[in-house]
Amino acid sequence: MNTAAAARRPDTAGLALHAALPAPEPSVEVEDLRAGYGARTVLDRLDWQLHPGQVVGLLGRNGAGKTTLLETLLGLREPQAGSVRVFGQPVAELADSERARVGYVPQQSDLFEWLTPEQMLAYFRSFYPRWNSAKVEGLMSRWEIERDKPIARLSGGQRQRLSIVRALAHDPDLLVLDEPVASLDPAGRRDFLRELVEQVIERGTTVVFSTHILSDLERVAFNVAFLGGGRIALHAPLDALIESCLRVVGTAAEVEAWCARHGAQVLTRSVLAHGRLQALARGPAGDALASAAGATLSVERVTLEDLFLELTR
Amino acid sequence: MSAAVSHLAAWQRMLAVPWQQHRNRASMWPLVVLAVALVALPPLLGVLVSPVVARDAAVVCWIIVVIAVWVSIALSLMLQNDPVAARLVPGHVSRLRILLLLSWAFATLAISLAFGLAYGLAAQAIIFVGTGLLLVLVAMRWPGLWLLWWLLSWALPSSVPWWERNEPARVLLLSGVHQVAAQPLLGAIPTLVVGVLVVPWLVQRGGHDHVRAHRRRARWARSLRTPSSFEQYQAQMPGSLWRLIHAPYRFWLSREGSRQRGGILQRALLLLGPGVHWTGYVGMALFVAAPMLLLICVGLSYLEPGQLPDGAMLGMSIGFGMVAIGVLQQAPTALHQTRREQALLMLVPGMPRGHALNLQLARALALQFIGTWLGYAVVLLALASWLRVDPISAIALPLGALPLLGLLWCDWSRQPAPSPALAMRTALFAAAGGLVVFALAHVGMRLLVLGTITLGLTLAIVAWRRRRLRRWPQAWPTGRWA
Repeated sequence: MNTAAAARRPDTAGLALHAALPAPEPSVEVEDLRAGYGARTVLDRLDWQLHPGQVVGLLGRNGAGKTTLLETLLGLREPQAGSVRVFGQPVAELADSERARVGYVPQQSDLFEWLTPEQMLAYFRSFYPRWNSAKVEGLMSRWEIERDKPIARLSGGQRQRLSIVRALAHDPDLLVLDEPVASLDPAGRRDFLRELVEQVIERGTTVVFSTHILSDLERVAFNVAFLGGGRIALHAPLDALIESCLRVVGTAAEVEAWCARHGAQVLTRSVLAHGRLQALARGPAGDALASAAGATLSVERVTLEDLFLELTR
Repeated sequence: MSAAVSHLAAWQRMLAVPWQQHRNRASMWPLVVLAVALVALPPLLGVLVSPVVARDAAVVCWIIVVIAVWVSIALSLMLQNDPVAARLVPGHVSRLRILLLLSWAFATLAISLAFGLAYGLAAQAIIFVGTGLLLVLVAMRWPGLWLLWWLLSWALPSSVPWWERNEPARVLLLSGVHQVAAQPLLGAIPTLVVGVLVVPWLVQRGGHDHVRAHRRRARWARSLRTPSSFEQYQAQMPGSLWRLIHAPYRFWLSREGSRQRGGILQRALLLLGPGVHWTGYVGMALFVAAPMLLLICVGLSYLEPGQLPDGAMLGMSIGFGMVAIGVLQQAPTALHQTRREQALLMLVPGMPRGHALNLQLARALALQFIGTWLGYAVVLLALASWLRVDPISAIALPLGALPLLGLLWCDWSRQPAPSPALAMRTALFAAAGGLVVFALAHVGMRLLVLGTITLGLTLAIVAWRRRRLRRWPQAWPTGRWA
């Protein structure tokens, strides 16, 4: 099975979090998506599904197209081809009732700088049929955001927190966050992640967020999706992925034979010096496979960072 | 020897920064074309018109070149005066001081020399050019002073009639002029001495004040690259005046910001700030254009009817015209600057999308332009009537600028980042339109006919753009396909 096919069926690859449950209607469904800038294609025939209650960390290198993907997913950028459906509706024709279920934290937090937090939140409150004032008040107090100071004069961290408060205020069912913790200190990141987890537990919100901070992702993301080469290279539950992925190094023949013998799926291959091959392989039983290494063949566990480096090339 | 070469190279690098910045940001071709035009113009005029005109043109071209080079060097040196480098880099401040002083002295003397060679007025030129360039440097150090200089540039000419009527003031003015004419070196030498004392002092040595000043200066310099933005006004105005200009916007925001009534796009435009909301233009009209008008009226009240100097009405028309066509320059800038906020607003329930958004946005921007345009035209016509001058000199530019409404009905999804070239294009279109109106009036076309033709042309452009609105992608977020 190739990686693209695995990406199209993220929850049927033997590692699904909700494998025993009947598959609910996806919150987001992306099919054959192509998007780019002029002649430059950034996303190429990308397929992806996000299911209710999933928390997905989107990983990709700089310029891989994470922001483009998230913006296209929200209908902020028209695709060149393919389709995006949110809550079962084409994103370009999303009804107001469905729009009220979407929350978004953009990459830049220096928004509406000419307003005060109070004014900005009051304004947005007027649009949404559901507004969790208690949550807003709680977060504003807990995160010590000054209400009457122009947003331009808040610190970078406070602006980012405010952006998160605004996105959470209407209790969205789909929360899209583009590098939401970039300018937060460790304490701020911990608070934010706690809030995110509560949101998911209380409301079953679907969350997708891009980040470069892998430790945060390990703390909160149940699923991880790797964006590389314009496609979702792999989307799977994080724990199972770490358990099942191994780095296999040996001669090409040894690596191929080993993978065939253990029924492991080769995710990536790279040629090393002296004709040796390194493969990132995924199999059903990581521990057993690790112990099966021979003298000239090395098989070892991988970290999330290793996966990131390999799968986002 | 190598130490001396490396020492020289360090100075050269500081001077080369503006050149490198320009080369990194933009094509060199416009500069090459401009340089060729400036070199070719005087001899061409000498052949086609007369040697005297060629001499005058050569002086003007020389001044343009010197001023352009000097402004870019001086601005770059002021921006290089970074507070961290000032404290930590050995010799940085002293080199900047020397280079800034030399650049000021060179520009002053180069322009004065041209005046000396052409008209024999070198010493007098040192006084005026040296003082003028010093004022520019002082305003680079404190960007808020640009507004004061601008107001003075309006107030001083407006006060000439008062000086002429007030005997003691007239005597003082004339004696000053005679003194400079008789013994110009008495003015030139103190000017140079003041320059030598003041210019190095403008370079700061680090510290808290320096950090704040540098931030203000950087913002002002950045605003020069995005012309006619509110950021530009903000960078050039003292904070209190800026707050005053924003007062109508803040009032409207507190009144309407959280209410659920009114069109959703109007509410979105309110949230996008004073740059795209009509209250921003009301603020500019109340606190910038109206005082300007008052100054002019006070100055002109000393004139007898019909005594207005030639070209003064046209000057006022251009001055107010800049405020009026400001919508054409400011709206693209403000929309581009708020494109990320637009992305968020596109997600709120009820926000129009696609063609509906394009149409509503086009209408809102057109209304803002027409409102400003009407105010501008009425003020100028009233002034023309009061001063008993030909109304065509007042209304030609507004009429010529009216069809530019079509520029606001465009494909915003492909709107590039605003640039000085874009602002120049708008100003040139308005000037060209005004010239055509003037020319048609000159050959005897009546004002009513001119007005009808302009209105017809504007409606035709709007109808054509309206059809295209349907085919363009959704306007917001602005510039996503640029």
